[in-house]
Amino acid sequence: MFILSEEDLQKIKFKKAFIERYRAILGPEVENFIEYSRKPLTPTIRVNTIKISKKELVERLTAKGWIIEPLPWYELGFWVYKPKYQLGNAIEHRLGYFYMQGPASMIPPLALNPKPGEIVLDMAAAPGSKTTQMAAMMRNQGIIIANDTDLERIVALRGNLQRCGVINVIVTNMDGRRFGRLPQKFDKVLLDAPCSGDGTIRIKPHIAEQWNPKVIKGIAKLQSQLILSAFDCLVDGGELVYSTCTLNPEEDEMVVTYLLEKRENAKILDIKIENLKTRPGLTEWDKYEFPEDLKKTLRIYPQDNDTEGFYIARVKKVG
Amino acid sequence: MAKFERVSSKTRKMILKQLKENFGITDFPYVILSSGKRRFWICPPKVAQINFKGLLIHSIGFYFANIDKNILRLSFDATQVFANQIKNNILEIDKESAEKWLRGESLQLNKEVKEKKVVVIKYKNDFLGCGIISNKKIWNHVPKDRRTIVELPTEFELPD
Repeated sequence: MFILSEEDLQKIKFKKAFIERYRAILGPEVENFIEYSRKPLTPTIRVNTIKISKKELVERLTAKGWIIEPLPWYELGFWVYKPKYQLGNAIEHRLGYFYMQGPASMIPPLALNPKPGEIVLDMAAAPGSKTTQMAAMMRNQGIIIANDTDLERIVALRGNLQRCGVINVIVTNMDGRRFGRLPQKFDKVLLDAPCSGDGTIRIKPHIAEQWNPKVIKGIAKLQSQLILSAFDCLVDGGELVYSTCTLNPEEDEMVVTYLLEKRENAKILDIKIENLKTRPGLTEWDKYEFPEDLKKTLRIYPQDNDTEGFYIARVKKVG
Repeated sequence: MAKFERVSSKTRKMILKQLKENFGITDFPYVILSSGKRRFWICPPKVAQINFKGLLIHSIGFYFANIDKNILRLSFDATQVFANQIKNNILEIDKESAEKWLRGESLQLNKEVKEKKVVVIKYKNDFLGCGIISNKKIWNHVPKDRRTIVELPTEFELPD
């Protein structure tokens, strides 16, 4: 997670089409959305309970002068107000006691809620922030298949899994679209899909400057294929969480709607995360209409909780 | 991509014996795999329920130990994962030595130790991997990506 200065972020030139698209969704509040996209994101860490307890880590960091504060929606996540930079150099990071993870990025695993003993697929896992979080939630029991297509990113994933002491993992290197046709089925699947990243401009400002609706169409096609594969590899009664770090309807509600159209046994479930401000998924956008059930999906805007932007949907495969 | 295979029952017995005698680890409900002759990985028994057909495997489980000349050495991360169980061959060191150790330096011993042996390095509450004692030295095995490579501000250092 890179932390940029306010000065760098103020230089971002948003494209007119980008602003207009979000104006169509948010109305005048788009100004607030843009303002927050120009604000540096306060660094956040997640306690890795595989190696240390929350109490021990908090005591240790505060004794060294760190100023940290728990996230309202997740007891193991903390804002870090001091020190501000290069947290990866800290001995506690090198020992795997914490993971540097964006505050909203901790939410999809909470929505999926993997349990010890389950068989779980993390379809686009690298660099492993959510895989390591799920392994800790599962107390290193059961199995997570952590997949990624990109071998270079798998090197980073493997490094993070090892540093965090993750035992219950099998790393695979394949196209996620193949899983739906394989005999192995999963109790739960996390598809944190590759996306345009509109919600992460606070961390990667080049996204705003390179923003291109044609690219989004291509990504949305891939996401639609991935979500079908992710759904098809669930056991009956299994659950899928689809998430992206964008708030583009083509990559969010339209992809979930595509799944509902293609699979009659897909049912949207509620997601309840206490102390987190969320907004319901859209039921209409541009010339499109989406099913009412899409209101159960979550839109998390940067300005709502001072985080990255995220979209999260939870889907059950009805037996 | 390495090839991962279950170790033979003879190798498993040898590993469990060394875990118990050298480290005091007895609760070890894992499948043990090898990737090559010297590196060992572990995975929960649930792995037996996975249908591997069509899966393109990169790696399985957690790299937990290495064997060299019949001495089993826990990986750096395994010393923290199994911290609650490790009771034997713990070598507690002071802050100055711990800082050297984390820079990747081997530590000098005052006296000759006849037999080559493995020790688990500990500073305060932190297990900092294993070292091999041989020729009046504790040979360093801290992975390169965990070493201290720059001068750190105090809030990033080991606690006092």
